[in-house]
Amino acid sequence: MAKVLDRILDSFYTKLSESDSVSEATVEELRTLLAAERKPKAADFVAIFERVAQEASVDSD
Amino acid sequence: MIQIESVAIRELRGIRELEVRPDRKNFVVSGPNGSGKSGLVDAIEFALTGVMSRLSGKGTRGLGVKTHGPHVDRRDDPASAEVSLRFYVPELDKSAVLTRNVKNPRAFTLDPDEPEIRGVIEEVADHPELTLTRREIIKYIIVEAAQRSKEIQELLKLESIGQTREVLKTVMNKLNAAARQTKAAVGRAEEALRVHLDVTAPRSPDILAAINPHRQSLGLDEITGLAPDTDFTAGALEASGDGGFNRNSALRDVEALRTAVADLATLSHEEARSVVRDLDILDSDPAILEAITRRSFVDAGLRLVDNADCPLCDTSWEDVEALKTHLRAKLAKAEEANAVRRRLLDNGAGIADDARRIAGLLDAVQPLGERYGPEGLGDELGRWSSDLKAFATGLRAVESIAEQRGRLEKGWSDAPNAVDDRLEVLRQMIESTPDQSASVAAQTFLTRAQDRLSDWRSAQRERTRGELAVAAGRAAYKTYCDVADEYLSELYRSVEDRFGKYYRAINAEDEGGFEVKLDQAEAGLDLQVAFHDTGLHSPAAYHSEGHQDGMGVCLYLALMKHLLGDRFRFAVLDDVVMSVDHGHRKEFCRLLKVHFPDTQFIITTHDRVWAMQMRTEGLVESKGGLTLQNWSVETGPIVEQAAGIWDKIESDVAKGHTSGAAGRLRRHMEYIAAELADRLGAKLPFRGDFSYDAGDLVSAVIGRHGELLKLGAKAANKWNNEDAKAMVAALKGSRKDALDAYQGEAWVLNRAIHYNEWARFTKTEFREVVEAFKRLLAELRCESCGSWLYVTPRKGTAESLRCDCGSVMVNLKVK
Repeated sequence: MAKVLDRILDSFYTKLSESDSVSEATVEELRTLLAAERKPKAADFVAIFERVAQEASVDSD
Repeated sequence: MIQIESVAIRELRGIRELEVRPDRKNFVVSGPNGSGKSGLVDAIEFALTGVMSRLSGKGTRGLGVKTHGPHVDRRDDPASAEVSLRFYVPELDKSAVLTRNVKNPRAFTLDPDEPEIRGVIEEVADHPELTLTRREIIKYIIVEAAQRSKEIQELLKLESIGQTREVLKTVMNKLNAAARQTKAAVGRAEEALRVHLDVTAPRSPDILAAINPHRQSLGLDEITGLAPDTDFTAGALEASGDGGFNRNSALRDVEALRTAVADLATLSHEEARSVVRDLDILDSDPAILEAITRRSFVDAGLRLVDNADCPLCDTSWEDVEALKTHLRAKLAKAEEANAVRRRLLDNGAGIADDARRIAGLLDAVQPLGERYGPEGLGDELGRWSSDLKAFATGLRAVESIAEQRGRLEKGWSDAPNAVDDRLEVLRQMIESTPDQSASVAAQTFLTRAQDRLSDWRSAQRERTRGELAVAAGRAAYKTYCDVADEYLSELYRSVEDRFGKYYRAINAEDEGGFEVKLDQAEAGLDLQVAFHDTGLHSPAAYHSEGHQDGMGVCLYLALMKHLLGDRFRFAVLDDVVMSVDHGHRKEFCRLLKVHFPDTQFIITTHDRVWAMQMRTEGLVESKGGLTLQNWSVETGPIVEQAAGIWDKIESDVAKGHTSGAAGRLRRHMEYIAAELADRLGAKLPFRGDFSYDAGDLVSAVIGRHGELLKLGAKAANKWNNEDAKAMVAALKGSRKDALDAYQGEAWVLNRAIHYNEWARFTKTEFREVVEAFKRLLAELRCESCGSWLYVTPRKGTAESLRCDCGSVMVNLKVK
């Protein structure tokens, strides 16, 4: 079943990259997190989204 | 994956010492309840995984492998309990012996200890579902959708999908909560700025209109537009001496706080009352929150009601309307509970926003109180601000809101006594401060305006970041759900195809059109099954418990096949087959034989007849099993000798126990002749008590067999099929020889069958009887696959006489 999980994640990254709300950097961070952690915590994801949002808002300031 | 060759057990659970030899083949363990069958299952599971699921999970608190794994007489000596399991690894074409001791359940030894073999055992240990117990099968069928989804994903090793989905949902909720707070923070910063500038709204022209007079008084250029880097204090000297104190602004801050304090009694008053009312509702019925989780289950049940039996629990009601009313009441309760929860959180958030706003006003006044106010006012305002912030934090969850009940009842603001009087004193003290010089007043005004503008802008940036984070989190959650649902749906299509195929194979006669639908939805995995051309329903709606159990087994097999494919080489079915009713046992055996020819099933059952049927059907070889007769603490399971029936009979005869051998032969013939009469569709005179003896049955079977071969010969001639003619001729020839031998002993057989006189026979006479029966029975079984012959279809006009593997296939249909 590992293949199913890999396929789901690959498709997740691809489709997320097409979203206007999520940058490539975020997708890469998510890829790194999900590759490293079998059970990532909500705080790990929150940190990614907040950090990337911070960078995006700085860029737009 | 592995297949078991043998298991040697010592002092484990109810077993003192036992060795069984499945020899990589299907193996059935039968015996009455309490005879020790499950001890063998525990031993296999323990050897492979180091755990015994019977000693873990719900209802097993205080139980453990080390303490309860050893035989009860050796409970203080865990080292005495050990299992050695000899297994075969098809992929490696190697056998090895695994030994595990209860004293150190996590460790095991292997002989030979090779990395590849160790890897295989580690993989097996990661598949606890290879052991399926009866109590587990229903968990895939009669459960709420969310739980079914969880159970099935766990079995398929896909639980991380559900976990990731849940974590991303939590993330989204956390980001939403954080964004809400940043939005509230913007409101507070805006209010501080408005108060200081004394404007009604922080629009650019109003801000500049408030700022520029102060700049002009300092001889500075007017600011004509508000840009992100606009600095109100540009060109001004730093305010000296007053620490940035601006008397007019300070007075407005105090006034704003006093206004808020004056309104405290009514601030969020309705929200607080609503919270208290909802807490009363929860207090009046503690089960109400539980009702939320059952809402979808009850909803599904209500839709399925069409008679007075509850589709969720099978309880019979006086009439269908009473049942519907009951379920509607439950549904209403669940919906009410959900509404209560939502109201509590919404009102709690509203009160929290107000509490933080007051805290913001306090934070602006606190330094003034410290410096100009009556003694202790600064500390008092600081404590109050901290208290309000902590109170606001406690309004995030239902449980913590409930803890604030007393405060919400008496007025949540908890303002210090006479705070307004003390603020009035502060106001007077500020007013009594010496007039600031115009330039100092202007400087401090601009400095403070700049600080508050910066705070406001900073809060706005935080809000933007929060919104961006929310959008990203929402996109991640939604995308993950969409992608996972798409793949899971594809996976479930494949599983439902197999599931349906297996179930139809068992229930072809009464449910040949059975269909199944597995739908992945956010709420979980919905399962709908067809019921006799009436459309799709919940499995609990119309199917009997036996059929539901059958569905559980079929779904399990479909899932295992999907999970492991051709590597599904081994499974333990602990009492699971008891779920298959009498009418479908043959088909069940055939299902396992035909669809899982390479899978070794270790099967336990307390039904000895069922165990015998497995042998009859060729699912289990004649010697592939173990019959437990009894059990005692001292001896453990008492094993009936595992030799085949003919060996047992010969063994009795050889020992001179003809009466024992006769009893065995009679029981076997009664069983096997009835079985064959059923398979071949033999005709018997009707008897109300269905009491046919072996003689009636054997005669009917012989007659029917001959009739079928005649039909086969006729059909072969009509079709002019030379191969068929040859096959039927061969079968008839062989049958004639067998019948000659049988009839040669007819006088003996008749005496025996009809007058029960076998017991008086000599060894030689009895052996002749036995040989005649064996020869006769051989005519009714396939030499290749060992299965007994049968006609198809089972009801109606016979169209073929065949065996399981197709080596015997006689067409009976004439042109």
